[in-house]
Parts: sequence; C-alpha cells; structure tokens
Amino acid sequence: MLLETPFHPRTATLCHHRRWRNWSGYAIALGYEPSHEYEYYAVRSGAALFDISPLRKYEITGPDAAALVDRIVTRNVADCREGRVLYSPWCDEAGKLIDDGTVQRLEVDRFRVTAADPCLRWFQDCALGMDARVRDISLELAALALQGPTSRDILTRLVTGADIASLPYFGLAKGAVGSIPVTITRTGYTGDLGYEICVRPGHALDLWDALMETGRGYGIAPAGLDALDVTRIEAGLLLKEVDYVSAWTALIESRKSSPYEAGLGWTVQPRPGRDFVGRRALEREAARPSKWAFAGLEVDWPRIERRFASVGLPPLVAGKASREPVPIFAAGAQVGFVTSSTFSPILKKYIALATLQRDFARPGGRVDFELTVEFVRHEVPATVVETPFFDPARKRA
Amino acid sequence: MSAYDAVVVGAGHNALVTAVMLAREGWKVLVLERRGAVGGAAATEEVFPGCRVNLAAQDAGLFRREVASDLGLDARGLKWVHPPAVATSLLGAGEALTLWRDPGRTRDELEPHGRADAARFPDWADYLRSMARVLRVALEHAPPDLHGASVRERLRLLRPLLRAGRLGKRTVVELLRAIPLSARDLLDDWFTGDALKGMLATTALAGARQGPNAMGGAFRMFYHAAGSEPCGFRSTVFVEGGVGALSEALATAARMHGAEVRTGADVESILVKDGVAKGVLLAGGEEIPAGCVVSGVDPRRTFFGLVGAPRLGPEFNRKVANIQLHGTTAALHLLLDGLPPLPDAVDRLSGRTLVAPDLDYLERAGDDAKYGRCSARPHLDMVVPTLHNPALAPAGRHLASIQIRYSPYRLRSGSWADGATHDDLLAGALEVLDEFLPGLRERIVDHRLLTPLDLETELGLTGGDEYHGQMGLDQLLFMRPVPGWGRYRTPVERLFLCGSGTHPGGGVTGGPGRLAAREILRDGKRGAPLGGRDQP
Amino acid sequence: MARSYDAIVIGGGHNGLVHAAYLARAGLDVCVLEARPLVGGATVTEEIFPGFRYSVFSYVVSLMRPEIIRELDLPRHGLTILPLESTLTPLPDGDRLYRDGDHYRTWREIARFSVRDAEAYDDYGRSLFFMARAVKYLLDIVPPDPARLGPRDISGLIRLARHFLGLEPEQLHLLVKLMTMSAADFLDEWFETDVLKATLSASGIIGTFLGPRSPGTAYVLLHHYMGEIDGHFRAWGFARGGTGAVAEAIASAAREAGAEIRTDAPVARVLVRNGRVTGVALANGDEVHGKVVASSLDPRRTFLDLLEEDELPGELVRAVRAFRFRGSSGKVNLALDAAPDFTCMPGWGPHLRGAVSISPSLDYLERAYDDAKYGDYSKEPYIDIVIPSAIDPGMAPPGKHVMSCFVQYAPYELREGTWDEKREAFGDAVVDTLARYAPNLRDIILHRQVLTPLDIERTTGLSQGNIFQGELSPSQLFFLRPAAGYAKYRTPVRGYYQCGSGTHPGGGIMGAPGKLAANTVLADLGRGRRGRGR
Repeated sequence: MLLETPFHPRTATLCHHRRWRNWSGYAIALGYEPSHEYEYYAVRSGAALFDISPLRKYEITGPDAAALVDRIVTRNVADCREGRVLYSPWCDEAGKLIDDGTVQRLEVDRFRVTAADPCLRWFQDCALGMDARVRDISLELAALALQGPTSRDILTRLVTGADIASLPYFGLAKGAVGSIPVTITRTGYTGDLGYEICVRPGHALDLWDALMETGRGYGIAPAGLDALDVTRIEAGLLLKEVDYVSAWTALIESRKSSPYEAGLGWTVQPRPGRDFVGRRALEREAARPSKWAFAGLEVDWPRIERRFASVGLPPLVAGKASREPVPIFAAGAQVGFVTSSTFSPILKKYIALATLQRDFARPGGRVDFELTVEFVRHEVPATVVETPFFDPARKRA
Repeated sequence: MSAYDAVVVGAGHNALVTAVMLAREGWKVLVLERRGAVGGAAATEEVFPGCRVNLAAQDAGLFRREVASDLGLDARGLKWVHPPAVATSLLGAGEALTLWRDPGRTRDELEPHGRADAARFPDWADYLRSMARVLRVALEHAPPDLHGASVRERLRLLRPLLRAGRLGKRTVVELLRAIPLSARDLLDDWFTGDALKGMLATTALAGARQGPNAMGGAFRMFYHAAGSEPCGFRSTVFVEGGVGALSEALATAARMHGAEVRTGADVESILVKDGVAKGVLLAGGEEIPAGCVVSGVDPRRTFFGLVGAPRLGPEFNRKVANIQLHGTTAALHLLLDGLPPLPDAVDRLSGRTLVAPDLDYLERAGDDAKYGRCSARPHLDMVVPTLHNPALAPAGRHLASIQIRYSPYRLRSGSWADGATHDDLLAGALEVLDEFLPGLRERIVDHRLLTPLDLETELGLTGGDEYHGQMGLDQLLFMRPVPGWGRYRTPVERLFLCGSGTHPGGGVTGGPGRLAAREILRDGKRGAPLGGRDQP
Repeated sequence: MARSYDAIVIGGGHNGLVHAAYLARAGLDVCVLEARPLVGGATVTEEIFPGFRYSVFSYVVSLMRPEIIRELDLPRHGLTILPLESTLTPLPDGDRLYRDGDHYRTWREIARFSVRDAEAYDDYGRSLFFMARAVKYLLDIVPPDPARLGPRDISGLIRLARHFLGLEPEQLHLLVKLMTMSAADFLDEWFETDVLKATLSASGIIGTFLGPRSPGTAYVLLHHYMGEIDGHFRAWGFARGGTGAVAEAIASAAREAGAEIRTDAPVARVLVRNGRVTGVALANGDEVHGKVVASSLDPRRTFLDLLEEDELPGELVRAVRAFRFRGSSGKVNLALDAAPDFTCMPGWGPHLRGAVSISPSLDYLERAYDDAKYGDYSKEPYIDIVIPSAIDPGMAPPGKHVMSCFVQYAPYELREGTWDEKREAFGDAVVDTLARYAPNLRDIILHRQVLTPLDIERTTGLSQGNIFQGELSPSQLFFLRPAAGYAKYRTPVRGYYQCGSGTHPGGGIMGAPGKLAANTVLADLGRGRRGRGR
C-alpha cells in the first residue's frame, strides 16, 4: 500500500496519465503527461516543481550537534556556517558508502540532514556518548523542489522575510510565503538554478498553490521523476542503489563502494584531530587507491544512429534515462559498467555514469559501450569526460 | 618521552599479573588503583572493626599454582589453605550433605543419600577433571585470530589443537558435546539424588544470570573446575590472610621488579590522540604520559567511561553496548559471635556452604531474576573464612561471607538506591538462612550488605557483573570481550585490555592478565610500534 | 513365504519415502513398511471430521530441499506449494503487529512501535539471510566425524573450516552468537519492541523445551529461516491439499521408480545375523528380508526398540538413552463454521491467509515456558495458527474453515495427572486463549481435535512426541546427531542404516536426512551417487 504525500491532492489531480512510482513507500508522479519532455525543458528553461517529500529528514540538536554531524559525514562540517548547506555522503567504519544527502545548518547547534533512506538508528548510534539529540522529522516536513532558470524570480516575488535574490549557492534562508513559514535552500538534484523548500504538512497545499499561481508567468510546470532522472544525470549526480549500492543493502562485499570509487573522493576531508566514521579505512584507501573509479562517458551518438540505421530504425535509445547496467569494454575485455545513462536533450549527446577500472577512467580515455539493437549486441565507442556534463553558470551565479 | 612504558589502570589481580610480567621484562610500569588497597574484587579489607573480610571473591582455587610460582608468589610467603570440606549443602532441619576433600569420606557421606550416586561419584570426579584438563588448553592460549591470520598465526593455532588432541579424541569430542549442555542435563545423566544434583549445579551458576536449566551450564562447571583439584565440585582453595593476600603478593612482586603501584589514584580518562593512546588523566588533573595503556577495568567502562564512545566507531560501540553484563549477586558479610549449632560445624562449614537443596529450587530462584526481581527464595553460597583463617577476626568471632543469588542489578520495579530494596533483600536472605541453618541468625553481631549497585560503585564492576561479562558460550574466546577483538588489543592503538572481560574470563584466575602480558610483550618485541591494529 | 528386497525402509514418513525414492531410482528393489494405514508419518492430511481436512501434525512447508523437489520431480507428482506471507500478532489491548510482503507497510507497522526497530528489521533480515546461506552448506553434507578422523573426515573438517573461515568476520561472529545465545538476547541486539521480539523469538522456541530467554534458542530461530522456495530464503508455504500432499507426492515418485509401499505393516524387530542385517519382523510375525534395512524412525526406536541391546556397543546405547526428546508441543485442529474474527483486524482479509501468532510479549512466552518447566501445560500458551482453507478451498466446505493451532508448551511428562485426564482441559486452555483475541471463535467451532505430545507419540511413533525426532540443540546436531561416531547414517549393524530426522541435518519437512542417507547406502553398495531410473 503506497502512501500519499501532503501534496497528493494536487499532484493526483494533475497526474492525468496516472504514471506513479513507489518512492520510499509514497506514490510520486513519474510524469504528469505521457512524455516527460515538456517537464524536462521546464527545468532547463522555465521552472519545474517536484514533490520531494519522501526524502528522510533528521534534526540534530544539542551542544555536540556540530561534533556529531562532523563525526557522521565525510565532509568537514566546520566549513558549514550557520545558514549554509553541505552536500556529503556518509560511510560505515570500513569506509563504504551508506547514503548521501544535504546537511543544513539552521543554527549553530541545530542541523537538518536529509537522507534517501532511513538512518535514525545509525545517527543515534553515532551520537552515543555525545550531548546531541537526533530526531526523525520526516513526517513533520513536506518538501518541494523548484528548479530552473526562473525559479529565483518566482521565489523573489513570493517569499518575504528572506533575501532570495542574494541567497548563494548552497545557502539557506528562513522566510514566509504569505503567512506560511518556509525553509529555503539553494540546492537541488537537477544541476540548474534551483531551490528546495520545506514546509509543515498542514501548509503544503497552500504553498503548492501559491507557487503554481505565481509561477504561471514564469513557465512553471509540475514535474515528475522521469524528468528529474535525465537532469540529474546531466548534472553528474549519483542515485543511491543505482550508481552505488549502500553498504547496508549490498549482499556481497564487492558491491559496496567507497566515496573514492563513486567519484566522491572530494568529499573526504580529513583534518588533523578530526575523526569521522570510516576515516582510517579511507586514509588507507587514499594511500593505496582502489582499482575502481567513477567516470562520466559520452557515447558516440553518430555511431549509435548508424547502428540503428543499418537495420532501418531511428535511434530508439533517445528518450528516458536508463538505470539498466550496461557493460563497458576496452579491447574486447570488460573494464566496467554503466549504471545510469540518458540522451541529453540539451547537449544532444548520449551520456552515462560509469564505474570503470581506474586505468580506463581518466578523462579522454576511450572505451566501448555495449549497445543492443534489435536483440543483437554491438559495441560503440565512448569517451571518458569530466562531470557534470551540463553545468550552466546560473547554477552558482 | 614518556616516563613509563606502560600505565596499568586498576590493580585487580589480573592487572597486577600483567604488571609483574611487563616489569620483569624491564618495562617501566605504573599501576594506578582508585581504591585505597590493591586487589579490586579480590581484596580483603576491614569491614568490621578488627576484622578482615574478602569483599567479593572468596577463594583463589582457579589461580594456577604454576603461575603463582612463576610469578614468585610462593617466595613472598603466599600460603594456600585446603580445608577438609569442599562444599556442604544445607538441606534444612539441621540436615547437611558434604563433599569432602577425602574421597572415602565423601563416599560414606553420599551412601545414605543413594548408593548408585555414591558409587558413581568418583567417576564423576574423574570426568570433571578430564573435561577441565582439555578445556584448560583453550584457557591457556590467547584466542585465535581467525581472520587477520597469517600462516604463522595459523600454525600457532595448531599447537593447542594438537595439545588437546593428545588428551584423546574421544575426550575432546565429549567436551564438544557436553559444553553446551545445561547443568541439569549433564547431571541428570550422572545422578538421581536431588540434593547432590542441586549442590553440583551451583558451580554452573556463577558467571551467568540463568538457572541450572540454561545451556552452557556444563561449560561453567568445567571452567570452575579448571584450577586446583576440584574434587567433583569446583576448584576451591583459600589463601591465608584472605584472598587479598594474593593481590598484595602480586603487588609486592611487581614492585620488586621495579613497577610503581599507586593507590588512591583515580584514572578519569585514557588520553587518546589520533587513535593512539598516549597516557592517562587522573581525577585530580594530573596527566601521565605512557608508551602504552593497559586497562584491567571491565571493557564497557574502559571504552565508554575512560576512552569515550565518540572516540570509537559506532559499529564497535554497538558491540561494546551489547556485551552481556549482568550482575546477579549481592554479597552479605556477617560478623558472628560463634558458629551455628550444626553438628561437626567446624569441619562441615570449612568449604563452601550452600543453600541449593535441589535443581528446581535453583531454577525457581533464577525465574525471579528473569522477570527482574530478587529471588523470593534465594540460592546462598557461604564461606566462613575464619574457620581456616582465624586471624581474620578477633578471638571468639567468626566471619561469614554470603553470595545471595539472584539479586539482579537491573530491577523491573524499585531501585537498589532505595533502602527498602536493600532491606527486603537482607530480610529474605536471613529468612532462608534461618530455615537452612537454624541458629546462625542469633549469632549475628554485625552485617554489611553489598548490593549489585554497591559492587558497581565500590569495586567498579559495571552492572555489578563480577565476571566483567557473562560467561555464556557467546562471550568466550574470540568473542570476548567483543567479537573480533579477542586478542587484548583494541581499536585504539597502544591501548590493551587485561581484565576478566577478556579471554579466558572471570574469576581469580590470573589467566587474562597473563595472556594479555604475553601479547603486549609480543607487540613490543617485534620492534614494530607498540599497539593495536586498525579497525576492521 | 518371506519376500526378499534389496532394501527395506522402516517408516513411511517423508524422510523414509525420500530415502526409498532415491534408492529405487538407483535401481534397487525397495519396500517401505509403514505402521499406519496411510503414508506420511507426521506429514499427513486426514479427514477427521467429514468435509474438513486437517494437516494433522506438521502444517507448513519451507525447509524441503529444492534439489529433492527437482530430482524427484514432485510437482509432476502433485506437489503445489501455496504462499504463506504474513504474520499477525494480536495484542491483548486490541492492537496488533502485522507483517507481510509489503516492505513499506511492514516498515511503517513496526515504526508505529519504534522507528529504530523498523530500520533494524531490514538489517536483521539481511543478517539472517547471510546466516542461512552460511549454514545451508551443512544441509547438503554428511558430517565429518572428529572422533574417528579417517581421511574423509579430515578432508571434510578442512573443507568445513575453510567454509566458515571464508565468511566475513562479522558474519562468523554472528553465527557464533546464533549458535549460543538465547533468542531474546540475540534479538535484544537489534530491537526494543517487545511484541516484535516475542514474535520473532517464537520461531526460536518451536519444537524445543526451552523458553525465549534460554541460551540456545537463537539457533532454532535460524533453522526456521533456512526455508527455501523457488530460490528465496525464508519463504514459507502450504502444500495444496495439506502437508499430506507432500508425502503423497514423494510416495508417488517412489512408486513410479519401482518402490513398493506397504501400509498397516508395523515393524516389530530388525533381524540381525552375525552383525549383519537380514530383514525385519513385522508385528504380525511375518518376516520381510532385505540386504539393506534403513530406519526412518527416531534414534530411540531405531536402536533401542528395533534391536537388542547386546547387538550394539555400550557407548551407543548410553548415548541414545541420553539423547533428548522432551516433546513440548501439542496441536489443536479446529473445524470452523465461519472464519475467525480477530478483534485487532476484524472481518475477512488477507491476514487470514497468513500465520497468526499468539506471542504478545517475551514475558508471555517465558511464563508459558515456566509452566511447562515444572511439569504442566501452559495456561496461556504460545499458539501458531494457520487457516489453510483460507488459501486452499479444498480443505473445508465452502465458507467453512479448518484452523491449525500449534501449541507450546505441552510437556510430555506431566508432574500431576496424565494426559488422558488433562487432554480436554488443555484444549480448553487453547480455545480460551484464542477466544481472547477472536471472540467469535467459541461459537463457530464444529469439531475439535486435541493432540497432546502423548497422542503424537501414540499416533506417529515419535518418542515423547518430539516433532524433530530429538531436540535441535547444539549437543544433538551435526556429528553429534544422534551420537558421536554414528552420525553418518550407518549403524554398528552392517546393512542397517538410519535415515530419519534424528540424523543430520535434523527435523522439519526437509527430506535431507533421507537423501543423504540414500547417498551413503548407494555408496556402500558401490552404486555411486548418480543413480539412474529403470
């Protein structure tokens, strides 16, 4: 039985095609229309409104709150001042990824952490012996993401009590929409200019209505997970259980990943005296790198077209993002696998997130991508590139 | 530069054994004890004016004689005392059943209670001895490191296996079969007499919170028989001057080898920097740097109390939190103005004296503990040390130290801090005592009751657990003190454990202290940096 | 005239039948002798009350080895296993804990009690999956004998050590805990919710004479997680037509392979000449001769009843005498006029297709055990209920139901009175307990069958009514089942074998003992492992 989020009365009315997905036990629209194309372009040229309420949210408070968050995540929380947000993964003692999310510093000793999956027990166990309290506030907050070039304009018009126009990338502000108190962070999962807005569930519908109303003149569209999937791949952002397997759900050791292996090495930020969970294992790995590494791939699109054309077809891969793992070869031997791939409508390229043997993961490297055309497998060339694939200046500006 | 190669936290008997062994290798050792005297749970102190009382541990039957000689204790005047009785079970109405050190006398004693049992008893005594002998092989080696194991390590593992194998494959197989049995199951296969079975089953109770029906009881029976001659019961040997004399002899030996032993020195925390132990901080604020820190304190107190959970990984902390620590005994010390009117009392009361009339009595006592309350009719285990150590009390006076089981540390209702709980426990124990040993009550001049909470606050036994962790089958070998850390090392480099919470376990055995010292010396000798390995 | 066979199998329970089927498939001329008028032993379906078919004793299927199902082609012989997915634990205050195949709903249900527990529940399930995978290895091997240490034993022990040392350290440690701890202590490491711990621990006490706080019960918890259906661990199911359908399918496979199955043929004695088996004598005096005789009865019957003591070494006689049975469970089968109506989940619903567990708290189970420990049946027992007719309409007339109640504890030996005197009072205690949670129950009972451990023993021959042919305790497992030196299905009498649940790997509708024993017999006869049908 799937639950409904606080926005469901609105999203259900709009979701004409009844395309829903189970996201952590909630029904969330995959798309409101037969194709996600319009929603995709809303992200890149207008504003798209996503219901992201199923994210887990935790509140960490108390004198040791900062020390606790610093113990949990791989990034250095000392760098996160009040009113700032940090993206970080967290690891187990063996330095393997558990989950990732944002850390919002609401006050000096009050944090909000989002996670893809339940982590209360872990956070509380990390807090043993510390003067900090961890509370699951997932049901106390509904959340929307407003993403796209016009999102700032919409919020500037709508929000009082916060200076949206000057809110920096990964900044946090408390304000109000009408009489509704909201927390706004300049974060998102699309790689575009965008915001995430938290609200009490009782105010959820009013907030939705206000955004849709004001957004009308700015090209706002409700958007679903299909559009989100394409944009997050363009932004080079990982999806838990797709691009990496959590140490908690991996049934075999080799399926676990370290931050280094998942392209998140930059989030491992030791400093003298800082002892976050997994530090020792990650130090060891930094000294002796794993044979696996993360890579972005651009697959040779003309070659894909040609493969399809040879059997008289248009390139049928264009369309939705794929979460099907695809083998990657070099000189006939498998050297890794793609975990997510999509045709990027804005780049007009076929792009993929991959886990490759380190030697093949350097930018500029050439590998072969397995492509199945009419039940026959082929290899088409691909080039290793830096991510994000799409990185507009407005994201940070 | 540190002034000390090793600081030992706590001066319990295991910590002292470690200190002696390190000091005699030329290490500069400092032992720090919070209390005014050494010994920890193996201390003898003045509880009543002019009387010296064994606070918790009563005897040192599990302390291997070879170890004592090796550490030079005999030379320091340590004397062992073997009283004529091993154990006496009180059966009520002035009836008593005694197991004597003299097998012939035991046979005569058992005859009236059942000829078959009397005839089997010598076989039982042999059986117990042979099981204990095989078990001892495991107790005398550090537990195997099954995973980090190098080839050399694995070969080392073979040695005890071969040693055990030489004692007979059948004996080893029988040990494997018998170890998980409950005391009841094992005894049912041997005897029919309720009184005898009840009495023998008591040796399975120490170190566990369950009654005689619990699996693993047979293991504890063998464990408690693994010291000096168990005589079909448990190894019971007293020390002249009280069990504290053993601890003092150890402290003297340590000093002889150059160690410093400071009492009244309360270690507040172990100093850790970047995952390495650097020394200790005393309650007064004094910092003592050291090459390594060795803790004789129980593992939970060591990690959570002295190191601090935030310095350790959450997965490791879960293991520490999951250590089964369950105090189930209270200690009642009595000052008597004479012996109770039991026939032949001087002899009969010279060993352990028990209220354990049958297995169901013990099981019912344990049932109460399951639901978090004190036994309505407790099992009592009494020693009258003045019978073999008259100097412990003024002339004409006797001392009796009684373990009251079950008195669970964790009560479902009420609290040990509440005087009424304390009084109820005392009244209940005296009532049972009066029933089984009439006349004793009238002899009481003074008393002192140590509840499980007192054992924690006064002796530092977390949860009141005298064994620093239950002696269940799940907390032995490489599972003790926590799974995967059975080799005296810890996630903190240069911090070692040497107390009863480590293999082979609790009781006045000296085993953990000895094996820990060997491992510490091994780390030191290789020239490699002294200390622990990485977290798994 | 005594007929002579290549092999005689004593007892037509599921293990005896599996054994016979494998021998027959290898080309042996096999005869199964079953005392009762129908095959199955404790795996039977009987129409005790017209129109209502009871799975009289065992009632769910999970442990049956998949390769046996495959090799004997049991689906073709009529075996269909229907899913059993949910567990409902009603609480006295009208609340409940309901777990089913919907991961998120179960998560939320547990989170009503504790979010931490909901999170830990996934971790727990995964951990037990690893444990089951680690231990499953043991189900398919003949235990090496450390007392004998022949070359095969040594290589077996080395393989075993390599297998277990090959586990991740955390998994090995967990396995040790599982082998030694009480179910309650083991579960305490994960959970804080009493009713969740109680219901999970209940699977650790089934068939044992131990309470959830008794060390050693955690292992049985795993034994009940090892079930495998279609490649999924922890899958439970009903055999369509009741558990008797399992036995009938195996019997059909055995017959097809040429085995002869005789019912109403109780065996009185195993015939031995010069240390070698020659056949068996039936209770009616007839003799049946065979080169090989395999007993699927429990060790006490196999050795002490069917043989003379002087035909056996003293150490074996002693070990079998010390082998513990201690039946601890009874069974109440009810024919119902309508579906039971549970206060906590009123009306008809999918919960009736699953198990209902009367295990509201650990103390409840522990008190139930306390009653039994001192020689009485539990006044408020643990009850594991299934209603097969809710998913298999053939089990009862339309709209009516059969309800199977597995009840613990019912000690075989009562301190006061006899089971013949107390049987109905025991049945009343069960119905009274159930009526507290399903108040309409009393009014809809059309027929009640109460089976005490004594009845189980009388009907099936299981000593002391132990459903596993001997307790599954560490002292009675692996190379110690049934006795050190005799755990490889052979006996001191040449040609006489054991193939029942009293041998490794133990009880439950698993079939593994029967198959492993058949491998041993065939190897001894020089026929190798791979038998061919005729």
